[in-house]
Amino acid sequence: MPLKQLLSGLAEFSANEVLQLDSEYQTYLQPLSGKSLALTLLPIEQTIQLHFTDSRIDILLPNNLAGDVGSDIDSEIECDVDSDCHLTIQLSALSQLRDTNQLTTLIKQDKLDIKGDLSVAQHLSALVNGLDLDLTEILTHKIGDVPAHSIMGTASAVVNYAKYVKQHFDITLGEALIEEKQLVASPLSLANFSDEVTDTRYWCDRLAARLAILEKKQLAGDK
Amino acid sequence: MAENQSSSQPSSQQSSQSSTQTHFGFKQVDEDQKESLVAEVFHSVAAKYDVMNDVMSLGIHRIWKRYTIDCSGARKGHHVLDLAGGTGDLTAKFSRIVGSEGSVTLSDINPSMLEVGKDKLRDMGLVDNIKYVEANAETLPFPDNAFDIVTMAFGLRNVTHKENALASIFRVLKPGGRLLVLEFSKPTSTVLEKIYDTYSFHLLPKMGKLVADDEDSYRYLAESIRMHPDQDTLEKMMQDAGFEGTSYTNLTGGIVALHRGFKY
Repeated sequence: MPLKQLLSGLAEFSANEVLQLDSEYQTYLQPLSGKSLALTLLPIEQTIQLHFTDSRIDILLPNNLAGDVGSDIDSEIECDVDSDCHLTIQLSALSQLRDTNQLTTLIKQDKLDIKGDLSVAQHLSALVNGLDLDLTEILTHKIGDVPAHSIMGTASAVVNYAKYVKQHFDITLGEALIEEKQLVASPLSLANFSDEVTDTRYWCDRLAARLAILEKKQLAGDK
Repeated sequence: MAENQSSSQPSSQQSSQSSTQTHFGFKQVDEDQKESLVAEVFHSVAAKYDVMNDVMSLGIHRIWKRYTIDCSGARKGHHVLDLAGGTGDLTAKFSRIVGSEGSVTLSDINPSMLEVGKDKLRDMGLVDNIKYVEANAETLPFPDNAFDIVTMAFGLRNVTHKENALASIFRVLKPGGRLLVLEFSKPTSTVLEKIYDTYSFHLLPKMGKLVADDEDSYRYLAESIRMHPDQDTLEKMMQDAGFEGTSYTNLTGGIVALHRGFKY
């Protein structure tokens, strides 16, 4: 089964479901209607193409013929990407794309390349930032006040507990690696080691200087 | 899982037999009779076609179709022919991609399937750039060089004379255009083939009876899949029809294959 298509299908389904949660999503989609945006992620070189209408987003993986079981396709496949706007971005910088103020910085850092109509990217950013998703309110409309409040309260408690467990786990794991197994150096040991290296270097420099002086004297005596 | 085109095919195994006989599943019938027999099958399954597709393939047909669209290279302004398009799964997506400057023609030989597709697409709000044409793939009623892309998903195996259909598609494609044929094919693993056979001939007809109250139609679908040419044979047929740069991709272990060819 083409795994990438499965993932893009799930992503498309999720994106459209999330859009429907905001009653004013069409206001944000309207400026994008009929436009398309291609997003090439580096270094994996995967291109994702988004096609917008006034009611939904379609996600394609243009001409992606690699990675399928039993593929007998020729390798020389041309790139079928033709979009109103084409962004090429480093995967690590993807999260910064939401903030349009960061665009210039990302371009200067060679993490982002934009071709085509920049307004498409700006409208997409406005769509992502503009969605007002109050989950409690959405649930309230579907199941009522009290159950919605209970579910959200429980969910919040679960998230907080998960954060606490993760924090606790990080500390325990860190102590086990440093103190018990001694696989990782502690910050104090690292600082001591750095100081010792600095001292050694200082003494080496002093010794080198003294040797240089002695060598000079020796040469002067020979003359 | 079989979008409709007319009669079943004369496979390579059958060419040595009487020229007026052809396959209808595993049975031999007159060529004249086939079109109406296949039409009956699809009239019978049309109403519950989408539900059955999801049940039979566990929803995987959506992934296969998505892959086909990804490989189509469709873009704004393109003119696409969704041949044997049945209930319009590909058409819906193409319609949004090509936009108002392009067009999608949903064509099927079976009016029942076309009607179901038309209702479905209208319910989705897709009306502006879609045309509906009842047509036989062997004699397409379109001018030469009319389409940028032609797709045929789960339809070719039902065509009586595949070589005629491929020639007809070649004629209506623009130079530079491409054909994508998504069709059941031959599994690449013998283990998978045995599991697939058991599923197709024992479970599938019973599911057809349970969901659509139509065991015979789904038995025919399973049989017609076995009579369809394998991957290499179909690729050769495309080359014989004039397509260049032909290739295919096996999906889900070869249960389905996507063939692709270009007209230059």
